[in-house]
Amino acid sequence: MERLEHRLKAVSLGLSLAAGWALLALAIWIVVNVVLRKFFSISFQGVDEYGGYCLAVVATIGFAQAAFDRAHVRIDVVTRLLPLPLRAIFDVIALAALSFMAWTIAFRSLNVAMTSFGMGALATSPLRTPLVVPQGIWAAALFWFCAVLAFQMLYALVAIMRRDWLGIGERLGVPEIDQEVEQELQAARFRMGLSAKDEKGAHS
Amino acid sequence: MMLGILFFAGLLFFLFAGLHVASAIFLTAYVSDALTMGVLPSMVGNITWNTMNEFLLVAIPLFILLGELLTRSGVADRMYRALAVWMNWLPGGLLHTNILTCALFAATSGSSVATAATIGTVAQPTLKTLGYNDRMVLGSIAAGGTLGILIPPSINMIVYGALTNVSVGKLFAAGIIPGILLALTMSLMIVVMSIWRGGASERKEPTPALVARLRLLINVLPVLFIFLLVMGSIYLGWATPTEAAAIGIVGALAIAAANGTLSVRMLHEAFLSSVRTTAMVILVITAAFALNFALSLSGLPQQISTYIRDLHWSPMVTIWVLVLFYLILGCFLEAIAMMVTTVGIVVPLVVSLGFDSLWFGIFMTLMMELALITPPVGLNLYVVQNIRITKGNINDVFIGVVPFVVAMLIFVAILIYFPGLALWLPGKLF
Repeated sequence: MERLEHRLKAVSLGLSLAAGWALLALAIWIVVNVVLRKFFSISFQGVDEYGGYCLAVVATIGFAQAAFDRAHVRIDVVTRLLPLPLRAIFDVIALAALSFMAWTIAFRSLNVAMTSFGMGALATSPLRTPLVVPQGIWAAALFWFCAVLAFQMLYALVAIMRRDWLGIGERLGVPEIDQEVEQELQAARFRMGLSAKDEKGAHS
Repeated sequence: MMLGILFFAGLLFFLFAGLHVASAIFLTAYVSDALTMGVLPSMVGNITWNTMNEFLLVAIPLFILLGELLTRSGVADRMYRALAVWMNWLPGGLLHTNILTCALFAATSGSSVATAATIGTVAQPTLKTLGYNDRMVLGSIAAGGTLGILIPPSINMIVYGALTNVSVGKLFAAGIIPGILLALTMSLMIVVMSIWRGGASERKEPTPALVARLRLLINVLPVLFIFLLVMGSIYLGWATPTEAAAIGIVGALAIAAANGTLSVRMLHEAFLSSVRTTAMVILVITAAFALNFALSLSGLPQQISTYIRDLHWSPMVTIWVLVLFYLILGCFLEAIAMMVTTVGIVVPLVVSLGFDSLWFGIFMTLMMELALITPPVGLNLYVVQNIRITKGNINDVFIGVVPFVVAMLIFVAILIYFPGLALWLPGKLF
């Protein structure tokens, strides 16, 4: 089970980094487009359209990554007062509700994509992109999110049977603010280290 | 009215049971739709696609990425040191630098948490060495950080604009003057507190010669450069907010390259963080659009508007009731969640009372800033507590932030009685 978790996380990480590069590429493309439009009066079609598709896919890939990193916000003022086993149960209930949302949207997205395919729907843009392509990728990414949630649910059910409350807390619980800040701190140390280094470089 | 009470009770129940904010909103939408029209299941696929495919919302990941890149580029550290030598003559000394650096960094960052974390990390070592009052330091950083969402660009304003069809460009313009004035109000509060506490207990560093101080100001230029690039391209009509964000990213890459902080590792960290935050925000927004769809069909916003109108409160009384409502709600809800769950009902109400939805966007942003620094759920408080380098309980942060909560409430009152502060600049520019 741990090995499967490891694999899934690796896939999610890879997808997220690819999404990041896609975002950067989109930004550069947009800038090129603005410059060409402003200074050379050349206008490419489709930046808006592809930007929209990019958001849909990037965000959906992020859904799964955020599920692993417990980045989807929850409010724990009440639940953090509970003893550990009860808190773990609430974590599982929350996961079930999130799964309901994910599966609902995923099946509906498949519907949307299939309808577009059935009608041969084209985007109402000069590029006339067959809508089934972006919608299909989007729907696939949503099912990937569902798969990750399903895995987490499976893990949680096994953990409940083992009475492994800490294991649930670690994977599903609201991240202790400490951990969240530890991440911020690492980022801060990283850049402080860098800037201290290049100042030393400047002096020497 | 029954339905309204049920609706809020249900939503609060789901949220406090610790469901994810997105699924709590989504479930509320589903349940209230099932009780009324029952059309949401057939529409939710299209609603989700249209939300996630919206070019305006593409600005969200781009502004998040811009902030992540700038945070890692080292501009904040340099800027802080440059401004410190200019501010230390004021009563309260370097505490003003905290506010000013936050305000300037906010002008390139769309997030309050990122602003507080970045400036807090940079500022604390110096302030500790010089013996500044711990609580004031923590409070000024937590509160100054909230300027991140008021001074444009602002992720929260993009979300508000998307939900209410108010122009994001106008919202950005409307945030500038209130942002500057709120920073000044906070600084004024620092002066008052310093005088009240009687003289300076902290040591002062010797001020360098004028030429050296002027030379240090070069370090403020990168941030101004990004701000002018982003805002300028919007107001000269060269770019939409989304395109301006992309221009900012390219500018930030250039600055990081010039500072020698650009690397694949740095990019990957920024990517991962951006994708994660984007996903979180977009999932909440998607749920909010489903909720707004269900709400608009249920007729609940109209019912509540009618109900409140029958109470015969004057518009001013109503707005002060809303201040109280959001102040309480903000103690327990996360800022974006507080906005997306309420605008569908509250914006039609205030518009029917004669308020401008653009002005209300700025009002809403101020209430979100307060939500970020009011315990027990105020994200900035925890960010600051966890990056603090002195030892102590989180109560120090809670106490330290009180003067700034007062300052913000004073500013809320000013904004209510002088709405022109928000509306004048967008009126001039557009």
